[in-house]
Amino acid sequence: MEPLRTKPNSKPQRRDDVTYHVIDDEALIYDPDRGATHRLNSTARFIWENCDGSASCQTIAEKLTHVWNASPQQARIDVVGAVGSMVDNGLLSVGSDR
Amino acid sequence: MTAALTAQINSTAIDLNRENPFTSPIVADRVRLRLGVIDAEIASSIEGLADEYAELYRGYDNHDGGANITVQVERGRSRYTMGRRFVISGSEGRMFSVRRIEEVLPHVEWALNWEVVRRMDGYLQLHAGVMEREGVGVAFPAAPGSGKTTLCAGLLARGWRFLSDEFALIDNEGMIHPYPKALCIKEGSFAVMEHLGLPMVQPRRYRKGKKGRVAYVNPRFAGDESLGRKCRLAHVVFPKYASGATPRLRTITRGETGFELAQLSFNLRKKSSVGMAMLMGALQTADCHRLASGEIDATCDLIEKTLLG
Repeated sequence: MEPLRTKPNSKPQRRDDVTYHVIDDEALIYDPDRGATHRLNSTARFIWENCDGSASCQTIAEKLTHVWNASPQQARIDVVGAVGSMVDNGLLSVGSDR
Repeated sequence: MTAALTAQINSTAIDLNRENPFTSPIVADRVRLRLGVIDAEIASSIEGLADEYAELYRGYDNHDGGANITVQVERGRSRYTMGRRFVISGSEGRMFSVRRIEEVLPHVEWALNWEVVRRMDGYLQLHAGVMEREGVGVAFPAAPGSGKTTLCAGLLARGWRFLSDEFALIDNEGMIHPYPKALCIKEGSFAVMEHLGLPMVQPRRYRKGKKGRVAYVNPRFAGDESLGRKCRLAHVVFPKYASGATPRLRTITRGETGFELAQLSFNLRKKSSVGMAMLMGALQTADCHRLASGEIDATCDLIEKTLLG
C-alpha cells in the first residue's frame, strides 16, 4: 500500500524557502535549514517544477507521459517515488482534494 | 538522489571552548606573509620559529600589518597532564598544543587554514587544489588522501601556476583567488618530489599527526612566475589516486559536480543560499571530469593533453 502522502490525488507543494538551481538538464536544491544539497536528474527536475500545489500526482504523471513519452504506469511510479522522496527530505508538503 | 551535507574538516584536534592561554601580551617575533589574498601574521616566542617560517616562504611578499588572520605560538602547558607544550592559538583562542618542536610548524600551517575557514567569509571555500596555465583555471577538489597535493606539484614542475593545494576561494563573480601556502608533502611522496625536481625545505624533520613525517615545498622555488593570480574556473577535476592505475579522465555533468562540491565546501553551511549561488555561478562555464590518477608524469601528460588541447 502506498503511503498516504503519495496517493495519486495528492497535491505536492514545493517549499519556497529552498534555493533551486538549474544546471544543464539537472537541478540542485539547497535546503538552508538542513544544510543539505539535493541533486535532481531531468525526470525529478520535471516533477519538482510541477509541484506547485495545484497539480495532483496523477496530473503530473499524465504530463510526464506526454512530455517524456513514458508509459502511464512508469510515469505514475516515477512521480509517486520522487514525490515521496522529496517529502521524506522535507522539500515538499502534500495536500489532497479528499 | 539526496545526501546531507557533511563537514569535511576533522575538528577533533580543536577545543574551541577552552580559554585563550595568553593572559599577558606576547613578546614575540612576527612574520607577516602575503599569501595570495590572505595577509597572515605568525607571532612566536619560540626561538628560531620565525626564521624557519621566513625560510619556508622565502620569495613571498610581506605586508605591513593589518593581517586578515593571525596565529600565535607560545610555550605553555597541557591542560590535562600539565606537561610542557607548544601552544598554537588563533582568533578564538587555543587551537592545538603539541609536545615536540617538529610538530609546531605543521600545526601552525594547519591553524592558518582554520583561521581562513573562520574569518574569510567573503569567499566560498572549497577543499581543492587549484592550478592555472595560460589563463585556464583548474580546480582539483577532493577529500584528504586523494592526491591533490602531488598532482599540484606535478603541474607546478611543468610551469603551471600555483594557487593552492587545499583551498579554492571563490568570489561572488565566480573567480578563484590564490592562497598559495607551501605544499605539505607526506613521506610517501618525497621520492616523487625529488623526481619532479622540486626541492623540499627541510630545516627540521617535521611531523603532522596521522600524516606522520612531512616536508614542505615552497612553490616559489619552481620559478619566478610560479604563483598564480585570480582566474576563472575552466575545469573541475576530481582526482583519485591509485598506485599503478592507468590515468583516465571521464567527463561528468555539472550537476554531479555541483552536488559533490557542495559536500567539499568548508563554509557552504555558513554562507547558505548565497554560497550555493556562488558555486553555481562558478560552474556555469566549467567542464567537469573525474580523474583516475596514477604515475605522476603520465597523469600530468593526460591533464595537459585533455585540458589545454
